[in-house]
Amino acid sequence: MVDLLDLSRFQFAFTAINHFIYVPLTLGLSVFIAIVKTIAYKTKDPKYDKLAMFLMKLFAVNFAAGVATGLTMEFEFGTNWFTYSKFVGDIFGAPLAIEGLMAFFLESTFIGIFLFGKDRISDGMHTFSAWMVALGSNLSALWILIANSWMQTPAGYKIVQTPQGIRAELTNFWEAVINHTTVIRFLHTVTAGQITAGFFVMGVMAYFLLRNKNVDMAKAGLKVALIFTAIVSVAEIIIGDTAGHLVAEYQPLKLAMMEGKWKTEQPASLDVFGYVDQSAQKTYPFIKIPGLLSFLAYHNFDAKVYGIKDLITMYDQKAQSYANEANMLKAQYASNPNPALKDKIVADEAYAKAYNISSKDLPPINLVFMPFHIMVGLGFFFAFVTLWGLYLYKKGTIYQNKAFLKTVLYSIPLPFIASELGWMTAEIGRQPWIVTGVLKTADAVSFNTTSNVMFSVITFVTIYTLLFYVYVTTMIKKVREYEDVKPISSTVPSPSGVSIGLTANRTDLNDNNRIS
Amino acid sequence: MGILPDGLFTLQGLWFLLAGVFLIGYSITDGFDLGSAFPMIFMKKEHDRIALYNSVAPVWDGNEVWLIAGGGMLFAAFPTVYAASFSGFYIAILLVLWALIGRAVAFEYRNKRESMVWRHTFDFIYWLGNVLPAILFGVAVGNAVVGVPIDKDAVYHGTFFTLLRPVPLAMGLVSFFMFAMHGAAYLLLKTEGSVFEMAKKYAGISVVGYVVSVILTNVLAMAEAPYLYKNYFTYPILFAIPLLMFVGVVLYVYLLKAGKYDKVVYASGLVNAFTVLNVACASFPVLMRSSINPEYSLTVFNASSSTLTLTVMLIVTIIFMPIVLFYTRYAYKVFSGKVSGEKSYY
Repeated sequence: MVDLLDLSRFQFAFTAINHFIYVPLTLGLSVFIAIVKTIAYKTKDPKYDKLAMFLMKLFAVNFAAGVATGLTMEFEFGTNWFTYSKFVGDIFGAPLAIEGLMAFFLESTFIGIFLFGKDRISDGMHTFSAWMVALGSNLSALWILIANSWMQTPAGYKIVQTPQGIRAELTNFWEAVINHTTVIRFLHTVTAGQITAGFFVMGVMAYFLLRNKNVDMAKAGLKVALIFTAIVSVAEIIIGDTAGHLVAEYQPLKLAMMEGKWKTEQPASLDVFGYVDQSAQKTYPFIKIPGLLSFLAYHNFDAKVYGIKDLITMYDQKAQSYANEANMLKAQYASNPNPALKDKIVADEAYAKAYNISSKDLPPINLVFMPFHIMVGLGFFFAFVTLWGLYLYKKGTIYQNKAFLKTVLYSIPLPFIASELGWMTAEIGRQPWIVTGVLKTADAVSFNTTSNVMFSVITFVTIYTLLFYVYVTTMIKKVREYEDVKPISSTVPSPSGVSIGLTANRTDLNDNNRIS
Repeated sequence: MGILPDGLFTLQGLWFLLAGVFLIGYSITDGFDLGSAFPMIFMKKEHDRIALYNSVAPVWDGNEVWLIAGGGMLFAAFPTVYAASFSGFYIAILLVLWALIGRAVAFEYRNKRESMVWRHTFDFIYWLGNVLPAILFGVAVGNAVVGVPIDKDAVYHGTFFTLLRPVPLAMGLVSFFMFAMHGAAYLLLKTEGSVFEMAKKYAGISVVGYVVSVILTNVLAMAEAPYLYKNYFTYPILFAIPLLMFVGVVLYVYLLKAGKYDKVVYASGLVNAFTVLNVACASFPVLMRSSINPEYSLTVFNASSSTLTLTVMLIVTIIFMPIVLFYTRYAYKVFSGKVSGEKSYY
């Protein structure tokens, strides 16, 4: 029999993973389109304008799916994680609200202007709209990463009692917002989105070149995308390395799970690929490089890396000392009932509960260990492919090199997968906590009936599977049927094949009937 | 005792008003998106259906953000209310969510294929995606103000069917017809030809429906939830709000009869704003009433965020709200004028 917690976890994981199919492309492609549109604006070269409008058409398909699935995330904190929402709302709610106000309005309003307003506004304003869409989607990512980073490495808060139970309250807005990991995790995420967009555009352009279609546009697109992707792929390796340090510093248990380390090692070897036998508490690596993990995590070949077993013992000791302190303070409080003491007791009890973990509370470690290593491997692969592309570009053979064109075409899904794997590492790696060291996921779930959640899980799986199917087939169809700007004739009055930017032309609108 | 309720001008009271602003923002903007879609399944011609989509295509996305931002604001300012209502109204909330997902998807994917089966399937999803939220918003708000079984930790003890009681259901009808009035008015502004003719009749039907459902709600509420009238009698100045709501209805009918079709939308905007305000007045300072024990009710004072969070959010809102309004106005200006069903935006 499945229990409520497992079902709720599954639903959140399923909906989050589905949402993140669409997000990286939105993040990266919005920036890429703005760059292309700016080139078009500056050079007045029609092939760049064509490219921008073509990509925007694909962007719109992707954006709709991202918005639809994104709404779920905002609802789900409340629907399925009642105790979590009540506990952290004072801090976690703010970034979500600011995201809506600062970013989502911007993105959603200007996407309408960019898509449908081309013939109603100046080219400069149209370019500006593209940048506003890019700014909006990336600001949106910033606030979501602020919220998520607070869950990973909380700061700027205190724990207090309220009429409806205990909660974390904000004590310092900037500390909570720019907590230990926000900046680097934001960069890590948006750069991943840019790699996704870069490979997506390179792949689509390669498809056109392989088919000898839209050649002018495809060559221009491939060139811009290649330079763009090469820069961000190399940058991502450096950013990712920094993100790894921060995990080592602030989330030692996550590091141990990422690397499959059960025992503390000094110096620690890097175990590249392998599998984890969780019941035996052992990891079987295929390749072992002595000392490398110590270096990667702490930039010191002799650094100590704590293992999972030792960390659990350490956390339990921490829990015990919090519990002891709480008991001591309670005795004091009995003789001297001062409210400051009361807050301290509440906080101590919360921490004592949060740190009290055992190996049974650990997530499936293979789902942290393997995704992390595959993601890193893919990151290097992306940098390699783009450098190869730059070399071919320099030689002048890139547009004819079938091996390269096919590689980028078939690599389209890989950055999407890398992004998902990265998030799996981050989120599963944070377990057993929903807020590291403050609240356990098991204590955060809603009081709901299993049948309600079973019903919603089934509905989400059905809706999202259909959505994914419609999304993929529509994207492929849009690319396949695109041949310069040639509308597809149809019997119904709505030519669906027409490039979006060109549908909103004057014939759509009756200017004589304008109000104002 | 002042002429307005105590505590309205505290930080928490201000946030109650801001929550109202977001609800009003939503019902005035996305309200016409919802309402303009109700006639969809009665329209037989492809051309007319596309005109319905086109009338809202460039702006609906931005409009829906009022809901997203409003949800975020509720989470940030009154986290316990967000947690209690979303988890308590589980199935109802998810129905709204799935409906809105369907609506977003239908917009984007409907015209991607020529097949009429494909298109009509999405038309139905689109229709449901607008009708369902329009009713359920009223039902949800109705339940929150009339009272639901929540205990002292704000945990909900009920099922989906607990929510289907007379007053909240009647309020569901009110919200449905309120959005219908607004949608009809918007179609009068944006369309021409057969859709425009349809919108005239549609506006007439919805204003009657609105008046009937408001009366029905009040008859039921006087019997079942008399506490909702207490604020009005304690602070009689609040009677101005139902009065202005009534003025909105009269204006709507007048503009319709006088043939000033491009102005009707202002009257329905007024009706939307004052209907929302009316519910807020009836309930203040309660955000979610407990039917188990009034002591357990979540109010703006016992369920709000910390002063620091409320202050930060107030500053953010004061800075960004005008910016949002500025470019939203710009977008509406860019897309002013009538649309037709000749070509699809998507």
